Amino acid sequence: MVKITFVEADGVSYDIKAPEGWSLMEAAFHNGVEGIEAECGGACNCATCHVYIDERYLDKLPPIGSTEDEMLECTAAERRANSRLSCQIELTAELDGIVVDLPETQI
Amino acid sequence: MSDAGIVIVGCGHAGLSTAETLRRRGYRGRVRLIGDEAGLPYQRPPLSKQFLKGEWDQSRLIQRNAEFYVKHDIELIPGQMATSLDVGGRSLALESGERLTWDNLVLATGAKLKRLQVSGADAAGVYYLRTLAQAKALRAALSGATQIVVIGGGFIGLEAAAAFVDAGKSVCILNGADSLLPRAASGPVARHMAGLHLGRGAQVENAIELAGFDTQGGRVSGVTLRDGRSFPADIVLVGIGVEPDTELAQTAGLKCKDGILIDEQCRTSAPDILAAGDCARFRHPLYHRLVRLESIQNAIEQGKHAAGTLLGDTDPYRAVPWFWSDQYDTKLQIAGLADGHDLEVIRGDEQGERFSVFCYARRRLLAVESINAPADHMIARRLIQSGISPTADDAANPDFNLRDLL
Ligand SMILES: Cc1cc2nc3c(=O)[nH]c(=O)nc-3n(C[C@H](O)[C@H](O)[C@H](O)COP(=O)(O)OP(=O)(O)OC[C@H]3O[C@@H](n4cnc5c(N)ncnc54)[C@H](O)[C@@H]3O)c2cc1C
Ligand code: FES
Repeated sequence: MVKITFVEADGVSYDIKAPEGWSLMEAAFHNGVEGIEAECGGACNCATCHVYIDERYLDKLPPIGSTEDEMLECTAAERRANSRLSCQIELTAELDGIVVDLPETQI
Repeated sequence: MSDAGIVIVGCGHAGLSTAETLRRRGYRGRVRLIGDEAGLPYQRPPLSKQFLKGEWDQSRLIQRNAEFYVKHDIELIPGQMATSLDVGGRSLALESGERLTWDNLVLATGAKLKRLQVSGADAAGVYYLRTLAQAKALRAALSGATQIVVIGGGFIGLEAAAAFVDAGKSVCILNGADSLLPRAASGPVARHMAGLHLGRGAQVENAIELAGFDTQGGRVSGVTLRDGRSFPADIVLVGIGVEPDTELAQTAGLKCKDGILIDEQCRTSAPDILAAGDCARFRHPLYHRLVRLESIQNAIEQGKHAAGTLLGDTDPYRAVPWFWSDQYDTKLQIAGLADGHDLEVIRGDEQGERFSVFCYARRRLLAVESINAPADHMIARRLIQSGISPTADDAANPDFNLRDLL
């Protein structure tokens, strides 16, 4: 299991454990983290699973794919250097302890 | 108001979205969510994609975990069919015999499969795909199959066909219409998708007329057409579409017309009863006609809208419809509704792997269908929502930045 902390824009945080192989989005969604909409269920079609990643973990993530990159240009909240779509990030042991900030809005 | 609260029928995407939104927005009354399927509410789209391919197990289909419902005080009542509705008496009967009273009722009963009525249609080896139970049965049967016939060239049929081809099966798609995706896609997109399936080795037969299924010892062994051709099969998947589930509404006397008729606030002809999702038909303010949508976007957003109405919102539902379908490595995305378009403008290379089709009627942009062009899709949603129509020249010019119009 991978331990993740999601922090909502208003400061509310959730400590969650999810299995390796799941996506970061799924970990949040199953557990009812509110700042993630994930309308398309992880198909990289909605950009409503936008997150800001803990800088210390950025280089442990898979690179941004071309579809994700285009979708990130269309997020509701501003795209930053540490922006990712959480459905495109597979949980691995390396990500244990990651802290993920959620934007103010997804829609 | 009594303390009966809100009862929602249907635990699909629309029903769950209504329940969640009520809680997120602070509704304090009772919320009960009733569905005839067993277990926790799950996502349908992966059934014909990741789940069918064996990439995901069942646990990944589940929407919210069990604690979520407890934490948010959403009373989930799965595995129970609602059998009759008493509008005047504000009550709902369940198959268990229990009778629930409500202050407001939300019908999110979705859609049910159209079934084939030909000889042999009941044979073993003939599958349909709408529910998790059906997807599990189909997935379990795959390992023993080498030849699969898919009947229907709509989204479900094509997605399943792609999963079968990826699994190394020999696949034949028998499509009643003249082209694939006849209800949903423009000519260029339909041709691209046909080329994709053919290129991967699937056989595609359009404009077919079914005579019946061949059977051996009660099992399907093939499919025969009226013109005499026949196609051997170990398994047949039928994907010929769905119809709205209006049974409860209709027998209770609510107005229905190929869907439960709702107004722009999701109210049915009985003002205390709302409806949302695949089961509902409504006048879309962007298209000025009655529509009934079969999509996740609509189920989720209309579900939210119904919750909003119950909380006192008065704004009309006017979300731009959008849809996606993933087949092989190709991403098809549709923004808007293309029905009735009189002009198709291509942006990108129609012969290539990435392009969009801008569909217009009398110079107004109705819809954009994109193949592997997610940025076009996202911009199209915003253009349509804002009622902005790029000129055909600008749409066709890849150097013109459509974002500048927003
Ligand atoms: C295999 C598959 C793949 C799909 N892929 C996509 C996709 O990629 N993108 C997309 O946008 N859409 C897709 N869709 C469509 C999408 O899943 C539907 O539009 C969506 O599920 C509609 O949600 P809903 O809540 O309105 O209805 P449903 O999901 O149909 O839920 C309605 C529920 O109500 C229950 N019910 C009905 N009557 C009663 C009753 N009287 N008592 C109790 N329960 C009742 C039903 O059993 C059902 O569980 C797909 C659909 C399928 C089947
Ligand atoms: S869940 Fe839709 S893009 Fe990530």
